[in-house]
Amino acid sequence: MADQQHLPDQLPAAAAPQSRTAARSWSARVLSLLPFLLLLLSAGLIASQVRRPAALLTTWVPWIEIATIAVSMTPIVMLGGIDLSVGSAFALTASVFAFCLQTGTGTLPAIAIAVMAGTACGSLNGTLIARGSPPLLVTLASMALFRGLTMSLFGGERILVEQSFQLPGPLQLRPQYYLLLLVLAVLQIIVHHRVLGRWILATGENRTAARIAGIPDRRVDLLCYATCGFVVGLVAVLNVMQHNVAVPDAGLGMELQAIACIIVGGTVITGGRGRISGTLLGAAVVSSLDIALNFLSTRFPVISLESRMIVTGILLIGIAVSTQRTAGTHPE
Amino acid sequence: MTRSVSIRIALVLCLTLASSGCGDNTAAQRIRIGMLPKLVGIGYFDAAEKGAREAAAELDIELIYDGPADARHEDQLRIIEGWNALGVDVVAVAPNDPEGIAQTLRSVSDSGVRVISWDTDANADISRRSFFVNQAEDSAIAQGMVDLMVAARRQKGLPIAGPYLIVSGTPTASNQNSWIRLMTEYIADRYPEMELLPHLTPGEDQREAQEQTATALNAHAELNGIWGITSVALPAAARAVMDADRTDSVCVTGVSLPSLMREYVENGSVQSFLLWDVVDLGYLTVQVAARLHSGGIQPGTSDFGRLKNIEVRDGMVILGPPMVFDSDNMDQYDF
Repeated sequence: MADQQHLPDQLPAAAAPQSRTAARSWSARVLSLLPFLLLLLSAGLIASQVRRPAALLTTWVPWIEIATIAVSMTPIVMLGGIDLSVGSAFALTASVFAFCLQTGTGTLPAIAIAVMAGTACGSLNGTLIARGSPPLLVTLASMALFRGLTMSLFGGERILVEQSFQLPGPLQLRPQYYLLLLVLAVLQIIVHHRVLGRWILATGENRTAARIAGIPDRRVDLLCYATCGFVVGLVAVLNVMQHNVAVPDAGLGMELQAIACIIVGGTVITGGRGRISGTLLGAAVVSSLDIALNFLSTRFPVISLESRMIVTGILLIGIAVSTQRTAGTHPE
Repeated sequence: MTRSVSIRIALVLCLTLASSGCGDNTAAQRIRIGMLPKLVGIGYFDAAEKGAREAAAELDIELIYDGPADARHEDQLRIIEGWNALGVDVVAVAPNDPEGIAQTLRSVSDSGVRVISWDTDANADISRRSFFVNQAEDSAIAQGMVDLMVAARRQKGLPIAGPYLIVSGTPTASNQNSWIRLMTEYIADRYPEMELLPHLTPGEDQREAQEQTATALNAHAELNGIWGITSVALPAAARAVMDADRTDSVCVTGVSLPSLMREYVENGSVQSFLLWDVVDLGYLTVQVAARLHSGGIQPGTSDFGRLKNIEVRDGMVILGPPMVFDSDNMDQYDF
């Protein structure tokens, strides 16, 4: 917990840009450019390799899904929390949706049930965390719980969907892109232009102080986790509509990729500071790095899967350390 | 702060567009083939890669061989979609989930990529794959396994009549279920004195397969023979028979890899078993992919590189009859 006397300065809109810039050392500035340099490098690599640029939009779809979940998880991290269960909740809601369709429920009721299931997952986390349980512990447990439910309720089998959904929107973008834009816009407004956003950041900075100031921190907790679950449900529905199948081991590792996007995007993992748009930038860096290394490995088989993971890991640690430090720089 | 962020993003976009302009001119024009195994890092698919690289070198084409580290369906989707953007001309896929991958293959083929499957077929109707490079016909494998069992019984001077057991993999494995059906038909037709017990489905789990086989051995004192019809089930069955000390009365055969079966063939608990030449399967897949791109493949028999008289029919390219592996030829194969 940071000193309470800094609290007013740390509310983001209140921070004076000039004083912070002045306080920043030269090295911190260079470090803060690292994500942009990496994005530039990756984008250049992808551009030099790609032969069918239109197909890139499809290549990016799994990352768009992760980015959407990362954006919806950003308020949770701003609160000083975390949600490790998003991958499992994704698999659970995808299976619920596919199961409903398979058993003859209409498309709209099936969507409603699946999104409700996602929201229920998030609300369960939110309720327990609002009662004072540590987010890491609660969501680690619910990660196992949701995955176990997916496996046992649906027999551990993939569920095929017979209906065919043709959903290419305008500009031939998959609906996942529009969902990301929508979630981004709504959360950008709520977090950065509404009082609720101030409440989130204040609670993340110092929960006790926020509570004394009259902020309903528990309701803020519940709302953030439930919203995240709601968005996870929507993403899962679109995923099943695209692939016509729900796989029980879907979304494995998705939570870590989402958290990587948030951290690289400059939201401080201990809460109290961050930007919704930063998560989008983080997702752009993480995804283009992954795709660029994938492309590179087809040219040079030396770049095996293992070495790719090592390179990604090291670079992300570097960015995370630098963004966490610069974002945490306090005005003197 | 916000302004400087947007300036930086604009800079990135400008430079990206500039560099993409350069990229297009330098792109090589060799055929680019993406070959996707179920997973990388296991003997079976390493052997397939060896054959695939051999064919790629012969034909002077660019081969991308990559796959997930642990047989995951989602990773396969991601790799295929990346290859589409890279501009591969042909994708050859061994799907982990033949149904789940079908929509992705269809959308890839809609954007102009030719799609073939190998090792395991993808749903042909939805995926619109051009060909399935099949290692061997199901009926040839099923009949071959039954014939090997009969030969093993005769060689030991034991009667054919009596109960037999099939140990499979997962209940939904399409190859295995097809073999079981064909084996049952063939036995009813040719060896009606053989009696088939209900088959076991222990999954792709060696320990589970071994335990279930051991239980079955206890329950059926008169058991004549066991087929292990996955690469995991066969060594597990052989081990269970060895542990029960019944190698003299119970014959074991099936489908597996030479590297997994060496021990049991050397100590005589298994005489012989079936498989196809996996190196040749990889070789044939790349040959088919290249031929598909440069012209077309007609039904009938034709030569693919060093593989002669390969049969093409019903949307399948068939490698040939399965091979029998025994102590004489096993050491020539390193997969």
